Amino acid sequence: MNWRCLSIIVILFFNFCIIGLSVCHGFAQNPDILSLEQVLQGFEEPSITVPVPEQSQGENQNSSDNSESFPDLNFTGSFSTHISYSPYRHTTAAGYSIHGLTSFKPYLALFLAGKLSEDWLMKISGWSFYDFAYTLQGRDNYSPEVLDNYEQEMELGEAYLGGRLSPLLDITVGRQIVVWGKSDFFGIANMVNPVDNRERGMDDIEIKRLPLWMTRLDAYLGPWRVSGLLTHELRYSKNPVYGHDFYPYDFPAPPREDRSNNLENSSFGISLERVYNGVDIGFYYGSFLKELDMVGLTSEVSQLSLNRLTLFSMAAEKAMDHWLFKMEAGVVGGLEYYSLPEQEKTRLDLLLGTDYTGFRNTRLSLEIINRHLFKLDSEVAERDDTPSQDSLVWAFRAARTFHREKLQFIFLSYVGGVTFSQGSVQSVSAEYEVNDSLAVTAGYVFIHSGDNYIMRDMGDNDRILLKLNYKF
Amino acid sequence: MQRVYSREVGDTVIGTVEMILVGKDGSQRKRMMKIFTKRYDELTKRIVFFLAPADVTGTALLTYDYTSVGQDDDQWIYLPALHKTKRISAGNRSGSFMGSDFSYGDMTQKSLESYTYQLLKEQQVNQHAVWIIEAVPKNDEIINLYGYSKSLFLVRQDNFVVVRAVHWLKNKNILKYNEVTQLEKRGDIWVPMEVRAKTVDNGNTVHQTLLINTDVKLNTPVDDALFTKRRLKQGL
Repeated sequence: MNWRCLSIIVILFFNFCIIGLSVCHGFAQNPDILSLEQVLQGFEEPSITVPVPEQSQGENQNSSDNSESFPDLNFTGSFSTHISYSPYRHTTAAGYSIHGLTSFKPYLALFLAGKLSEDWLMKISGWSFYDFAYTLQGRDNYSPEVLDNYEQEMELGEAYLGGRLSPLLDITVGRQIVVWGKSDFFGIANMVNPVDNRERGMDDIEIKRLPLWMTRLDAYLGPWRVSGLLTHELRYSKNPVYGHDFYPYDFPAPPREDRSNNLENSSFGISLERVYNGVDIGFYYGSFLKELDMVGLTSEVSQLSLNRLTLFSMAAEKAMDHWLFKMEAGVVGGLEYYSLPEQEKTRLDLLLGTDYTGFRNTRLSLEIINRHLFKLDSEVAERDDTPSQDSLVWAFRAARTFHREKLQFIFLSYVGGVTFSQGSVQSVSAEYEVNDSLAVTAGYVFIHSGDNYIMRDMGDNDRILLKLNYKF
Repeated sequence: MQRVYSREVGDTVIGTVEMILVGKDGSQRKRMMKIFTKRYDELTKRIVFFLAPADVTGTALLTYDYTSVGQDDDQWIYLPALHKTKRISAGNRSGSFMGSDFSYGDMTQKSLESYTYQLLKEQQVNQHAVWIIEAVPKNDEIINLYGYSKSLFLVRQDNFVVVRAVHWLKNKNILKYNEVTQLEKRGDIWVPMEVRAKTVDNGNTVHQTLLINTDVKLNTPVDDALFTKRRLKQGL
């Protein structure tokens, strides 16, 4: 039995354990043998002494004093250490050897947020890290691109001011993150902000969205929330770079096309959302300036190009008993590809998903998305340097808490292709809450190669993860 | 029990709640939240802003709790880490509320018609006469919804407050005890200011929760706009 088979067995075992434990709880017996007096005796037994905090004094009935003092700002943050380890020696597409410690980074995140007045609020956040793994492993063993993009970072996160212009109109100005749609795993409608893809599969569903400078207006018209946004910043997703083991090519990416940060290059969008008969529904339209997908990139390409994408999308979700059902559909126009010059493609994205919470302390989530590219010749679609005509991805997540939520197990899986042929990423992790401030997370990320261009030859990129997180 | 359910509890309630979770080994964790509740004819709206610990700060939960049997509650949660307001299914009320000994069902108004009641006896609790009433769910749906196969309620005869309760967890040899250890009268309304809960497994206390209400305001005008997804995201 090789490591690959063993890893699949471990994943399946872990997954069945989460579900099995949930089911087994339901089949235990309940011997109802205690008399009334024995049951009531339970109130008389001594309890562990808990110091009772002092209660606020001077409260009185019908007090109408709701006054709060402003500004009411909270300063919070976290200091964490992220460690990752590559158990298999492997070589990146660029020829760099990877094995052992791949990350050892202290990470500081700070947040200042709160209300400036009854109607106005603000938030400023930022983070910084330095990854000592590159020094410990020898900086000469990495490409300059990897060192520039992975070794250290200090960034301003969200920084915005929001408030009420009228009882029906809110404004938010500044660097912010806007989430569209209902999916937890994929972004059909969720195209506003760029994302940090540098370490694929290393996080739970907390996709690292990168904030953008923008102005957003939210109007509340009857049951509708109508939101319009205009960006003031050209910012792109952070992707793996030449020399990294998640970068698929043996040549560096060319410089990005230079565009002015002006109104012509801004992105804009509008969303309409409401609740109708217990169904949360949303409609989205946007026009976004994005980088081309890197499929078909060659060393002859002189610059990373930008294309303007238009999005029409709708999303809905409905809760029924223990189930939450969700769907999204969207049409994305204006797609260009390096291997299909002078052509613009249109894509139809469809997503179905569900969450199930019927097992005790357990949440199971499944989402399936298919992206269909129109007017793509079948012969062309078979080529390695072109996008697939249909691209289907399954995402499954099982999470269960134990010991009063002190311990949480998570299994997360992304699998590409109807027959799982496009590659997959699975992770198993456990988070233990040592106390109210400190948590330890340990996990393993299994990566399986596939036909998709970014998943080829990735099978040895597995990672062992350890994270210590102190929040204050 | 009709008198218990119809007891005056205030059309609106604003309060800060501190929960102290005590493990078997005496280790403690604290949770703090600000809760706004407004009652309508067939509906109770509640919004909970989580204040502590740091990893839940900014999280908020909005619930529309319908009194009519068979109508699912509406529930949304705002998760600041995801920058997203998510609808959540309210079908499982037996789950622990934030790791405490209280379930989501314990925090909501149950339907009087869903149970069969039987007066078992009368006795004294802390110098007050109480009725001891057994409540048995009328069907498996209610058992599965709240997770209790039966309950005992100790109801004070002078004010109809349930001062003690015992719940049998379905399919388990586990009992949950709730006890109001501090009760205050605000005008005509009795308010539990301190409630202790414990989970007893085969006679052994495995976990306890102390819930302390502070800053309680009753029948204070509360704007309907507070109970919206708009406010959920904006926070306190």
